[in-house]
Amino acid sequence: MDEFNFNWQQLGDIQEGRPNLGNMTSVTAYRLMQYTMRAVLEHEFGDEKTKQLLIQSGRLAGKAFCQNILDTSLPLNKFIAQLHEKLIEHSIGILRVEKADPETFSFVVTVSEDLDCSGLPLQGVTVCDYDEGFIEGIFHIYTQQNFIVKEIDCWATGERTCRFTIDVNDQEMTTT
Amino acid sequence: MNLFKPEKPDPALLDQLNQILEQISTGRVVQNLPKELPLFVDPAQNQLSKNILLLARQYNESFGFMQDLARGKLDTAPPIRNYFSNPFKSLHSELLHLTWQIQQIAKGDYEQKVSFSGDFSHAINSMIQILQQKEDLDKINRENEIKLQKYADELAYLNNKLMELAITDALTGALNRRQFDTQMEHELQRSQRFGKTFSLVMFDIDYFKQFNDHYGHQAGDQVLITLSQFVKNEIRQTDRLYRYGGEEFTIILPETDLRNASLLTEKLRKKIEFTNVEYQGNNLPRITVSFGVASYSQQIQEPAHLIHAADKALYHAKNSGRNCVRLFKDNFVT
Repeated sequence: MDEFNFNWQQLGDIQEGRPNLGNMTSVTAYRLMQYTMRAVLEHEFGDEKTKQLLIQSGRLAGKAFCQNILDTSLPLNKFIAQLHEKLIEHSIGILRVEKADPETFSFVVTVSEDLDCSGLPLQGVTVCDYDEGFIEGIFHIYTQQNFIVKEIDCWATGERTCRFTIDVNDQEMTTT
Repeated sequence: MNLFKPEKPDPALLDQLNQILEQISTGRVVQNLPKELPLFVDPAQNQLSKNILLLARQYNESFGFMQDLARGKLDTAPPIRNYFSNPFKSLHSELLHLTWQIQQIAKGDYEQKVSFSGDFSHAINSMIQILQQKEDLDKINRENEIKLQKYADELAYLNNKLMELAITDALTGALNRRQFDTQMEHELQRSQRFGKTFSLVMFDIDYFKQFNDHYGHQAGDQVLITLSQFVKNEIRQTDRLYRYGGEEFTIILPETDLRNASLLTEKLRKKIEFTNVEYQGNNLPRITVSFGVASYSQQIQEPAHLIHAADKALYHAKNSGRNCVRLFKDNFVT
């Protein structure tokens, strides 16, 4: 996909490879990987660069998720309902739309029980950089337009749900 | 052994803290909240004082938001990084989402499902399910209505067709004898009630028996069909052509006196004389027609009398060399 050496097949045949443990893992295991990797990246490249890398990775994941899991032929409302179901099915979070303007493709959504951050200690800054990219990637594949996704509330800033604004980005994107 | 002697609390500061807590516990906005409070020497008392001040600030920041939330006003943004109002912020978020979902449902989108919102989920999802069932049912009803209408239209068409067949002569398409009798009664009653007149034209084809004998009955039938079509096209929409029997036809002309009936009939006679009848790709010899005309009047007020008068006029036309029009007027044929 794009210029990155990633495709869905790299995730492997999980049913064959994990006949007993199956497709699910614990949130602890996921976060252990995510936050250790983040710590190393921050140490090596600094906070800002790490944030960029996480957004890029999330975007790559969102695109692949949309292309392989979601039906992009659905009309907008059905697509959102489907996305809601699939995010629950994959235990990623509970997506809820607070505002939507289908004319301008402008949304405010929340993700509760978010895989990345729900239950984290207070850090004073939003941490769902990967999620921002993930949502952006999904909407990009669905609409073939570029988006700016911004996390405005996060568990790590003391909220009880992550809130994202999603707006069309008229500027050419510099990263994938 | 504790060597520190506890500092005696400052009564004024304690009073201030008490006032803050009292206002919070009675659900009022804390008035005159200072940015900072004087410090105690004792760190524990100092921490207590700081925490009460932090609580009061978060409480005050949340107050308007929570009040608006209680009134269902969802466009007031929740205070950021305010832990005091966290459960209300969650509720606010749920309500925003539910509002959006209900808006979608109102637009007819029943794909939306509410998850993990407690009793709200069950209520909303049940409502969506019922609305979906209702819409499915409405759709079936609409389809059935369309089908029913289609069947009703077909039935009406078939009824009309049946009605038409019941009153129409199968060969020529002219109205039949039974319909003639009915219409004659109707026209007489109408003329009597409104003091109007109407005319009856009776005609038949000259030498038709000889024609049939020479050219065959199928050719004769074609003559009857062509003549019938021709006359129907020539008369007014309110006039009616009937096959009276064999090669004999009648025309009822509502609200038409003898003079006008005569003019129409003469015009028909002339045109028929020059009308071609095509049969099996060839033109048959032209035919002529004899006409008898009578009108409803003081002397003629029974259907049988009118028919008799028109028939008498036709008989005279036949005896006057055929291909002519004869009128029954004042008990005489002219």
